[in-house]
Amino acid sequence: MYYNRCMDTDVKELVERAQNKDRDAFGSLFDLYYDKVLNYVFRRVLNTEYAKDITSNAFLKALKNLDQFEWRNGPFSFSGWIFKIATNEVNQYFRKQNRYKLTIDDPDFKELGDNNKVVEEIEKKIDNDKHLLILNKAIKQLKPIYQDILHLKYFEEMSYEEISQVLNKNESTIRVYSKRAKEELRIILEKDASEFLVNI
Amino acid sequence: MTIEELFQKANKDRIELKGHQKKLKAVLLKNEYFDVEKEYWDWKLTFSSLSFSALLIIFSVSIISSGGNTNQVTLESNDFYKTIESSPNVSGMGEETFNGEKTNVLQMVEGGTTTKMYFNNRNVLVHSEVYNK
Repeated sequence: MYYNRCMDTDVKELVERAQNKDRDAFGSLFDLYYDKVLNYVFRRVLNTEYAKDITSNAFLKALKNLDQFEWRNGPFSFSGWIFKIATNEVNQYFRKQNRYKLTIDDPDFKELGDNNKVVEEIEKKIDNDKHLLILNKAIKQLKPIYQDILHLKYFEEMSYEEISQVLNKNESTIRVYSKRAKEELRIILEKDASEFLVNI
Repeated sequence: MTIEELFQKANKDRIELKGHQKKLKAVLLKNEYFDVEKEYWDWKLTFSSLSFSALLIIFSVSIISSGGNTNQVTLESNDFYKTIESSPNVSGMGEETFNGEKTNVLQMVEGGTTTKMYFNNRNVLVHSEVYNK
């Protein structure tokens, strides 16, 4: 399960307060989901700068559309909604690639940031993670919906129920797609990475 | 090796970008979203305003169809005044001056909505106000 069920009431209350323009409530929601969204996006794009831009755009979009959000899909309503926005942004990034732009137009936001050392360390770690690189390269050859499902299921460890809410499809469809995605991924890996996989 | 095992072998260490988190939060919290008052769909006010407007339109149409005859208008106004005054949820609020003219004020309470109606000395409705709790 993606997050503890005992938090549901708290999250629901925070969402309601944020919808009533309570800054502290939105700040708490942001702190609760920032790491989850950032890491999900980062594993999809494997680029720190784009992960920052996509995460920023996703949260800005969430804020601007917060009034339209309705709590109607049970305990995963809000996490499903925020991951749906992040997934849409990721897919937009894949379509636009280097034309993808940060939509936050604030000079203070562009000037400061995490120091280069932090970013370098993250990227060095990724460069040394052969499993992640091979998986990522293979997943990118799949249909977008299969990519979404594999990332949400195996990296974010979401249940089929949660994934169905993020991707707006029913649970049985997600199960079928997940099976097909795994089969197609296996074929790609056997073709492209069989040497590597034999040696590990 | 299964697909599941391959996923397990991939590094799942979470990355942290505290500087970006702090900055993004600050920018979002000063967004104009928080400065705009939330708009409510006040069905009670809308419904009572609409029904009152409908009443006024019917009243106006009946005056026009009477051909502007003053006696007829006064008669129609009296009927309207009497109908309103006799309603159980309407009470007289005494006299008030409206636009320099002495008016008789009736107050109608319906649910959480109060409507004040101002009638002149010929019992013609000259003004109305709707309040919502």
